Amino acid sequence: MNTLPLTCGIGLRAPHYREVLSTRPATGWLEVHSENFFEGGQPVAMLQRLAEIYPLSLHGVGLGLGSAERPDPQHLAAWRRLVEEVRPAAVSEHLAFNHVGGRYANDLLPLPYTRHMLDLVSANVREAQDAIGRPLMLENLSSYLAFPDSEMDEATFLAELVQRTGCGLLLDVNNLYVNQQNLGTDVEAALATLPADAIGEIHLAGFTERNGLLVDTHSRPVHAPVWALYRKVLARIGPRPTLIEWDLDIPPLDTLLAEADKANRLLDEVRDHG
Amino acid sequence: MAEPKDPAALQADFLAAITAATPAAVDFSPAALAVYRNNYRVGLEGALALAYPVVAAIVGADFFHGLAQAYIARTPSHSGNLHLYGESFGAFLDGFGPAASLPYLPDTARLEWCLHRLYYHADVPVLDAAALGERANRQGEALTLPLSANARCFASSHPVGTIWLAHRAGTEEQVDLDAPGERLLLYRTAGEVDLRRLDAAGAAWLSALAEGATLESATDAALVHDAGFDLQGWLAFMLTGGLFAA
Repeated sequence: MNTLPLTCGIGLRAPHYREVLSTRPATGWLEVHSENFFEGGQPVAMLQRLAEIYPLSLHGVGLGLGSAERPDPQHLAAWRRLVEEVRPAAVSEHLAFNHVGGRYANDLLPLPYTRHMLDLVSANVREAQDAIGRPLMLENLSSYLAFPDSEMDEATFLAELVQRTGCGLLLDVNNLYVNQQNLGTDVEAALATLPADAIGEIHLAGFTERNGLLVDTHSRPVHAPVWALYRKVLARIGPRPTLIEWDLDIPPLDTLLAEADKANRLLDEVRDHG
Repeated sequence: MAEPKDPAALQADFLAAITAATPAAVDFSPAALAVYRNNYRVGLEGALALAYPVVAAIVGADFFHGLAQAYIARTPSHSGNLHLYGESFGAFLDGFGPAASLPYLPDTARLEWCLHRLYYHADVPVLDAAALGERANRQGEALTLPLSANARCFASSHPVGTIWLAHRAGTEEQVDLDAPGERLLLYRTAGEVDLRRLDAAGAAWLSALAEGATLESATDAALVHDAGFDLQGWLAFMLTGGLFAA
């Protein structure tokens, strides 16, 4: 499904591009947002240089595979080109809605988990995988609302997608925790439902509390209960390539690397005793 | 149990609740909707700030915030790629009353959008010196040298090239904002975007080439303005910069 190492990498964002290229810090791998490198020019040239140094994961935020409508052909074409140009170790996207009638939210919006949506999203995932000629991993969403129309939970929906499309899963442990706190999602049930073999990557990030909701801002260190849940997940499914994501109020590179080291220690524990 | 609502219709309602100026009384929890409404506006404003740093610097952070939100309220996003948002910002500024005292602002925005697109566009094959020699032998007097996608002519009745250069250099306080208009060459070389202010001869030469004129007639058009037009210097600049189309 992917060729990422079983270590913790970091999400690379614009403030650290130059520093990473010039200092080449010891991190197992890097993940970037695909859309930041669409089309061409200097961003793609830089990414190709990074791909020569580190295993690279392309993480998409704009395809909106959870939309009732098909993915934008232009977006698919730009994405396919980028995959061809950098030959990443992993490719992932979100189970999220972002467009309808040619209008976009540029966000990761929740969708109703109905059988009808499952048919539509399966077709979208197949179309996306056909475009790049390889399976992709789909990430579980952080959500602030649940649709009353839903006929199943997100984990069941994802498990069905794995079955129908052969896609993999990217398990965001922070999202799982945020949903547990905001929506009362049953984390135990979710972990029991998600097919462990399909989980090819794990995300960790920090949230912010706003008006009684935990908002998945990726602006803080990973919180203690999320570390605890991560340990539990590792104990259950074994080590997986793991990523520290930080997208707002981005700290110095060393802070990111220190967070990744924490995850690496937990990965080592599981490897040694697992 | 009622049949679930059509998924596309439900998603259209959800998106409308997020983008509408005032949140409609809908089925969604107000606290949750507030998160998505905020994400939408913050995300698009961030995209505008990235594409329009000089406009933002000219008007200041608070004014830019108001400007951006007024634009976002009437301009939906049409792509999952945020780098494509904001193309019509210059046209919006034409009619934006609160910025009417800054007549150079709309063209500054148009200039920044051109540079933004130049920075991200896909790499294209360009003409090198050897290929130019071959083409010259083949086409003779009919030799044409259209510009590559790395180069664009730009004209304004305001000194927007000077404004842009001064912001890059941090010398914006020295700019005479009432100075005459400018003709510019916007270009991307080795991944970096830049601009060059053109005299009448250079502008005539480049716009003729861009329109498909022969090198000979483009050069004649330049010589009308300046008998000392530096053809060799311009050819070298364009070739080394990859600014002629292959």
